[in-house]
Amino acid sequence: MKLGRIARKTIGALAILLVFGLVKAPLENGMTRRYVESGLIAEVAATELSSAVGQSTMLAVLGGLRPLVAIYTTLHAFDAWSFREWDTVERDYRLITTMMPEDIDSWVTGSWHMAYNASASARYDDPSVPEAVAEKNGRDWMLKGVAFIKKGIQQNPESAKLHEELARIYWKDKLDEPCLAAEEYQESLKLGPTKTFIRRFYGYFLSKCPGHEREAYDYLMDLYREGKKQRLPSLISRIKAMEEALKIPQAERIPDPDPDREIRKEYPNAQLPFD
Amino acid sequence: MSESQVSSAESPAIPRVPVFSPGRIWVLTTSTFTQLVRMKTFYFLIVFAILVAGASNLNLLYTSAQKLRMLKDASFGAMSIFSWLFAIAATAVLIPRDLEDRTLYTILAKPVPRLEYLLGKLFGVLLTIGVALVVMQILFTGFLFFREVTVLAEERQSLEAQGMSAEDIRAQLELVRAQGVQWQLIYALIAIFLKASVVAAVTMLVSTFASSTLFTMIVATIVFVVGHFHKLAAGYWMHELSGSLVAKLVVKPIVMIIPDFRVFNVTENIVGGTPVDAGTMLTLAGLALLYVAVYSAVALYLFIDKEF
Amino acid sequence: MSVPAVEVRNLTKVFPLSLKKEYLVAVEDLSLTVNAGEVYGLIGPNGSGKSTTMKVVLGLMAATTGSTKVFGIESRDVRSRHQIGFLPENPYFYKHLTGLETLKFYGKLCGLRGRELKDRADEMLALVDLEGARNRRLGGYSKGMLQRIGLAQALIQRPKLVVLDEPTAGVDPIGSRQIRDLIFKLKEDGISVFLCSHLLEQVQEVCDRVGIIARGRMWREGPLHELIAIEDQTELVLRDASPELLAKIGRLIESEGGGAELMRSGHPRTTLERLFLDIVRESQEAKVKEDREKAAAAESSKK
Repeated sequence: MKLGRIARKTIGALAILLVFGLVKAPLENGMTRRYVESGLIAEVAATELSSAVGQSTMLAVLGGLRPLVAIYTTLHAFDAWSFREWDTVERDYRLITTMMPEDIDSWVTGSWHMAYNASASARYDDPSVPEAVAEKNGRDWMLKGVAFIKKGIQQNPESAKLHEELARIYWKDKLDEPCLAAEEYQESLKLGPTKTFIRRFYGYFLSKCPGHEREAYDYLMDLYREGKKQRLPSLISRIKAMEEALKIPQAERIPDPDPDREIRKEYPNAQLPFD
Repeated sequence: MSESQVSSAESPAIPRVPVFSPGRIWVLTTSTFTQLVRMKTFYFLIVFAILVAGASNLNLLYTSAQKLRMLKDASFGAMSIFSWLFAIAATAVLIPRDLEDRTLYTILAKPVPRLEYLLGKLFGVLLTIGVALVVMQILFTGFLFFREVTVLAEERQSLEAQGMSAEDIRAQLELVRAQGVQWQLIYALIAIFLKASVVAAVTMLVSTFASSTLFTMIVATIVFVVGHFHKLAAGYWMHELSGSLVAKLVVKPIVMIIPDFRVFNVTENIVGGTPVDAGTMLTLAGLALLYVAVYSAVALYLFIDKEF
Repeated sequence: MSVPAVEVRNLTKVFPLSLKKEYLVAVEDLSLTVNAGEVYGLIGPNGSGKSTTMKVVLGLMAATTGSTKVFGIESRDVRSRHQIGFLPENPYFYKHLTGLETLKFYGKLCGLRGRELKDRADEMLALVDLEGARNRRLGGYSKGMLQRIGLAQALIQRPKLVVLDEPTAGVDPIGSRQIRDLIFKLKEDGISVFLCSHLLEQVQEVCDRVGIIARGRMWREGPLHELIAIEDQTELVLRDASPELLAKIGRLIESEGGGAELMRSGHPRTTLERLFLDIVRESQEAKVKEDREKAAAAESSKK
């Protein structure tokens, strides 16, 4: 049977495309793999995403409009925040971070909304809720924030900033986990460009972690010996407190006056920032 | 026949038609460019400017780096959308339009090889997209620069108020600056252009056998959409249907024929600040060129003995 | 003898119809020659295969069998187009270009550049009397102006052959006359013209030779005066003849005897038109006959 021109041409064109496809596939797959490895293409968790968004959004995300969808979702979350719709805020940030797991700021902002804003709102906004229940709800939101940022750390093991933020949540008022906070600051120091305040914070919280007092005192003293730029009132005050706790001989104590002495005298029960 | 001899003395005895002439392609390219420009396509640039101006004035509670990042994401998102829509729509319209107006007859009745006609049209679309992208990039860079200056000033002020050491401030500002005007953003622009080139080549290929403009647009759009997730979907199907005849005869060939556009999505992360080197961009350009060459060749194969 | 401008040899063009196994034979075993320097008119009713023949000559279509050559170069070869200027029926060029830009565009496609291109474009604008509209976009041109700019475009690279498809379709009488004058001018300059038309008056006026095509076949071809002269007939053309006078002449012929007879009397028609209509009728009768034969054959094969 003789084929018509159109049929012949269609088969020919498809054959060329198929052969080309076979030839370029290894090349293309290699490029995709390298790009994913070097972080140039995000590996979007497709199944997780498709359960979170509609089909059209899914297409936009895969089609290279990920950042635009993220912007839209961020605006949406901002709106929900102003109405204190915390569940919506949480869902939006989960979506944003699913789409852009490499965007550190979104992990930070999301966890901040949960551990700070939602937590405080749960605790204080509704006076009709019994105090114990409000406390528990507030704490639950904090723990959600912790879990959220931990997921971010899992996806971005290189980020010093996420550890720093997690540490901050740990020592925040009611969560009060100095050991965990110290641990996270230590992780942050391992990864990041050394920020001097993080070194001090590491020392402060280590000093409050039971069993690590001596280690912390030595660390803080090292900082002290680095010279003037480290000798901030908070460091001196902390060293003073440790000298008391560890019963350091008078001769080894630092000569500086305790900057908080006046406050302590006047308000013996006051809790100072790093106490 | 004396007059005839006079006339043949004026025109050269052997027709001087080179097999392939970049000059002629350029004539067709510029004419296509003029055509598209006079179709008022550049009005989109005004829309773009308004959009970027809007995005650069959004002051949500963001970190300084996020403010800059958002402006970049919005601008490059708009540039991407423009480039794909334009690549599909303009390419789909051009050849059928020439045929309908019979302009195609007059062009092909001149000593113009069909390959040159196709390439001229394709390059015309690409030139238009390229020029539009460069203009948008310039506009956007201006906005980003001013945004960066204000944001940095604010950031410095607030950090100083917090009593941070000069060293820490410098480190912090450096992080903000990383999201500002960077040479690397040009690579993102190039990646957008490369993707649009492949999209335009696909559309041209479709339009050489399509029966209508609408059909071309629909098929090109489907290829574009499918080309973004077929590798993911194929993995799923192949897993589900492993070994089945459907998988072997339908899914696999489709995955082979349709281009994988994901590679070109590097734009997103380059904009986000992921470092990229010139070598990577070169391989990406090489891949795009390969696609354009093969699709143009198939388009020519279908077009060369097409009858009008 | 010089190479003919157009040489069509046993051209057959078959189109498949839809997806069914049906075919349309648009042109069947057609041969024709346009000699260098002559004006050749191909005439035929709509759908007779004129345009198809023309498109094959221009390389816009491929022949199913047979060959077409332009100045000895196969139509498939892109170089053959260098010697051709083509004006399609109802041409629409890029509406966004001005008259001058249009000519420059086509000139550049033919390899003209710079001073030469500019001079040639000016010359062509003058030739088709469009100097006043040179900077106006074609979107604002009338049909006649478009036809003229089309002709200018066709001539831009000094082709030795001009192919015109229905050059005066839809053009008013004045425009039509301008185009006719231009064809005369081309002929004076020694340029061969191959034109397609169903407007017989025009063909009669300008063509040296005519081919009459119907249902894809060539029915008559030759120099115009030969085609329309009928050797054994003589025409008397009278003015203000009364019926009595005509009756008298009729009687005279009868009484004279010797085999002469009065074929008809009435108002004279253009002779080419008469020939044309005869051929169309002839071809239709042939078709009816063929169809009948086919039906009979089908009938008998059924039995």
